[in-house]
Amino acid sequence: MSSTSNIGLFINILDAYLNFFELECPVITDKFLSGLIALISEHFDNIRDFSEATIQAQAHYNQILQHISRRKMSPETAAKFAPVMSG
Amino acid sequence: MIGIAEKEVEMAFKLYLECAIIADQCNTIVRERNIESKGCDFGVISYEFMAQSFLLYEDQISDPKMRERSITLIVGTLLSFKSFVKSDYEALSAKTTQYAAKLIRKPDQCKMILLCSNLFYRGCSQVSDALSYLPSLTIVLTWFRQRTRFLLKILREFLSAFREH
Repeated sequence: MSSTSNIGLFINILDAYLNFFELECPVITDKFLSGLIALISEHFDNIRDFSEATIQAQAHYNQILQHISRRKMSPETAAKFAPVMSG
Repeated sequence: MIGIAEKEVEMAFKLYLECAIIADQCNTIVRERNIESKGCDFGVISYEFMAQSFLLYEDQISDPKMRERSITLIVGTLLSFKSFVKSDYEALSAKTTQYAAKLIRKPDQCKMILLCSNLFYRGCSQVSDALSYLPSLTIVLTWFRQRTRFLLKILREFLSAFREH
């Protein structure tokens, strides 16, 4: 199992977590999100192959980060998203 | 339908799911307008169609790719149900999650359990939608609350599923 396909899964999980976080599911906290984001960033730092899958994963990840920063900007959701560290 | 199931498994499977959705829509209409349904319970019909599609999945669908597609379809169908009995919905959701956990490849397991997690927490926006057509909102709310505990379990499950690599 290569780290490339792992990272794809991590990003999928981050996506799902973010979805539940926005739906205000009480068991999903900002800590989960920050932890996952840190984990994914760390993985990307270690990746040395630049295959199609990695590029796609990177694009997906960037989209998610952009989404989070948009949520941080918008006044209604800023308070909820403030504790999420999206380094 | 049984005839189709022998030759075109996937088509029969989809038809069963679509029939279940339509039966559920009929059930919603019956409930909304308080129509006398004369001994015909659409909820039972809908559940029966779901049961048939699950049987088909177990007996005939063995290709891993096809299993993945089928689970996606089941999740979509379950999410579109509006007037399902709580216990039935929970039984079907649990069964689907079991199917997802039994897939052969670990990454597929992870993706599908992730998808199934949506079944256990449908979010507040849908609860407020439910306000307009479900007479017993309090039941729905407690239902969602109870489900969150289960959701945590599911999330844990998929995290451990891919930590095994």
